[in-house]
Amino acid sequence: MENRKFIHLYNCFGFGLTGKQIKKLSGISFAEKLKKEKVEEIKLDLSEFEGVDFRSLPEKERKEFFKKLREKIKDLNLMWLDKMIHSENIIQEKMNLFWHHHFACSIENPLYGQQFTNIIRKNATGNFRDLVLEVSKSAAMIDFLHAKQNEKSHPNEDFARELCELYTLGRDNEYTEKDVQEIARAFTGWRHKMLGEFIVHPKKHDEGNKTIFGKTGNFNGEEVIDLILEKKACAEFICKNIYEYFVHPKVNEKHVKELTDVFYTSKYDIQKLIIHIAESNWFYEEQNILAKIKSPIEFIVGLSRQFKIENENPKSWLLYQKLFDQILYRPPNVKGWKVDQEWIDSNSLPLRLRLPSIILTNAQLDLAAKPNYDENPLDGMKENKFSQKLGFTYDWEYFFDQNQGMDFKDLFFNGKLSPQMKAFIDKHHFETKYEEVIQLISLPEFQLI
Amino acid sequence: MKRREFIRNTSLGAVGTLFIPEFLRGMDWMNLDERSQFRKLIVIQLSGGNDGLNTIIPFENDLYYNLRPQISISKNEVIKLNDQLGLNPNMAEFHKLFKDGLVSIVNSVGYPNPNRSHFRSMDIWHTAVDSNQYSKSGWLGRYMDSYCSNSHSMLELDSQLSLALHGKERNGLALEQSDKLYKTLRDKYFRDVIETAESAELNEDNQGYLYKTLIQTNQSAKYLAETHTVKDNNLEFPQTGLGKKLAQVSQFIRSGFSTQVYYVSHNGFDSHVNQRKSQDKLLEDYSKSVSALVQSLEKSGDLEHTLILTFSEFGRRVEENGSSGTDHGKANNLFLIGKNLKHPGIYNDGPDLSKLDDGDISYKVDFRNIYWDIIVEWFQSDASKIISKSFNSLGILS
Repeated sequence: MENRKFIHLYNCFGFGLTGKQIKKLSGISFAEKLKKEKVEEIKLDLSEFEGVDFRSLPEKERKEFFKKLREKIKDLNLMWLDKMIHSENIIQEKMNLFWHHHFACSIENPLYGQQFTNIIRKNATGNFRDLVLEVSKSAAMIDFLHAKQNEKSHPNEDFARELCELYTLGRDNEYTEKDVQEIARAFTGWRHKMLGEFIVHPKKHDEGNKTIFGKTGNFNGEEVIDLILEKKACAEFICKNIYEYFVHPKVNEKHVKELTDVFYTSKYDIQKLIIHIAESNWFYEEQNILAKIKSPIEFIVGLSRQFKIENENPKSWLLYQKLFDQILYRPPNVKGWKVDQEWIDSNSLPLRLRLPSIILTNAQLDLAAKPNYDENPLDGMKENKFSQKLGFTYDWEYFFDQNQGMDFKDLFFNGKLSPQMKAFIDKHHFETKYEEVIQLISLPEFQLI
Repeated sequence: MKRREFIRNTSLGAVGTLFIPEFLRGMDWMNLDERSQFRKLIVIQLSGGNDGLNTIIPFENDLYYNLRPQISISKNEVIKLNDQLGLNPNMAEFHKLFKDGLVSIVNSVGYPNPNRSHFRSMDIWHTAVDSNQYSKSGWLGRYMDSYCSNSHSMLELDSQLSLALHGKERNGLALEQSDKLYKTLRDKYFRDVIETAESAELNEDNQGYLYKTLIQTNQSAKYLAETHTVKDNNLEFPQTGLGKKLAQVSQFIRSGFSTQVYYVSHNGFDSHVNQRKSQDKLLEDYSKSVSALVQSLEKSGDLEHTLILTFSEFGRRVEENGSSGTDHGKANNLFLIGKNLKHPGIYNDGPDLSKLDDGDISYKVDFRNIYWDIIVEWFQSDASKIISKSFNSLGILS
């Protein structure tokens, strides 16, 4: 495969490659690469909490205990980011990010966060049935969509509705209001224990007959998921989302239909689906190159991988996420983080264009994140002050060594500059090679993949 | 020219093109009368949930004193507004505005099925949808979609833009100083990039979208930096976060910005602990800063066409908690300040503390009704495109 296609492939199913990485990978196919990849789970260090009988602690200390435990969500956040930046399992990592967006779930409890993220990690390129079922049984999802309040006497439809609307079928697609109510009944009694273990509360579960999609029976939640998966509309909805995320924000109906057939026939095999995309000629067509806008996480991860960007102060990474509006484990609502053009407006664009030069020259970024509503503004401002040096370190030697002999315009934009911009760059005089790189990645095209 | 025609012309002139029409560069082309048609709204958001009951105090109500043994404000401390309600004693300047007939106080404002989370409730106020609905656009952003043509039509004095100012088509602009954004883009290299892009044929996909946004941003930044001509020292404003932001708003308005909405947050109202200490200070700051703003606009003749809305995402529980504070509650009071109020003063009775909703004040006025009136009566525009429910006028604005 020629370089250009390679760069495109791993921009989409990864976070970009360096010249040396391209050479290393060029001997194997996408399918082989994917089979070589491993599932990496995230494991928090919770040793300081183990064996503590928090129930016997006085109220104040018990509060402290839980506060400290909650703080661990930040560790979880940083561990995930670290994996995206350093892992060799790049396809897996990209798929994890996608599924966390698809199953948007805001998580405060680090234990539940760990369980949730590992469910996604284990199934990200596995079978969609396992994924959706395990996510539905996760403590994080049960809390987030009020499954605890869903009981026989008072069904709560929150989870049932989002299951149909956001996770499997798409809004008002092949299900009715009545189906949602009946599906909610099938999921009654779904709970989790303190440490996140899934249980069905027998007294809260509705054992009566439900009529779902015109079929009547004493369905439970798992059977409902199978009823949903029987519908080809479900495969189509997932393929459409994957297409928008990995191929082009405007779907091509013909391509999505082709993918739907592959996905449905393979009984929801995610691996087969993405291999099919990577092996399609249309995936590499001109209109699909640089078609998508990087999310802030894709942006910083890609940059970090090229320039070996590190930061000893974990707060800088968290503040970056807050400033650019994409906090891991904290999507703003059930619909997930922003997508595509939503990331770009007059506020974010100048900042995003300046960011590479600010990081790579260790310059100051004069900006503070807003305090949260529950923060004292004075404490908050101190905490959120971003106007100090960001403290990111970078490695130019690594960059130039990795990309020896590469045309940087290929590396950064896949050669896709407008004629005017190309003419401008060609006649522009760069004082140093560093300046050349920084100026190139300050172009709007660097915001695209 | 009627305001609506003006808007229509502006839209025709500017939507889809990349240039700010010459006539928008300043407002000098309009005489004062026409200028008065071009109305401004300043929104002041009290973030964290301001305790409305210790802001507007029902000093004749025993229930209030019984439920708040530690933190209630005594009858002889309050600044009386009528025979039932009085102001927090730290709001003397605000009281002056009230006496001058510039304030309407609306009690028990909220929405059905309230949410006690700061984030969710703030989102509901920003998006103006039912509390079980979600929206990615805010009420002011949707107003912008229909009636404004530039991102600087709505400015937030902050580093990040609130959801309220996110439209479906376009977003407002967040900035801390009018020239900071301009400085960011004034780098020689960026100037060259922008200049090159201006002469290029831009495509319809994301590549083109990025360049168009860049060019528009640059034009807005340039407009703001060039139009910001009134730069006084604003010594009459408190030198606090809020005071400085409102001083900037005052300068922008007096400079003749075409901006229609200014958005400012006053943070720190989440008073779970030792409430009186923190809230009194914040309300004093609010009172002094707003008063300075009103005075400066009065002096320049801009108050006639400026309306100030103050709200918070929820009120607090009526009963105090165990740490001399209050927890998250529901309905709350809200202030409108300006010269165009029909019956300035207290619009409706204070909350009925004998009929609480799970310990909280229940809502009597839907906040979207206030938004509706602002769009229809203040901006003289069609609210049905912006607020999904329809309302009758509350009769507050004239």
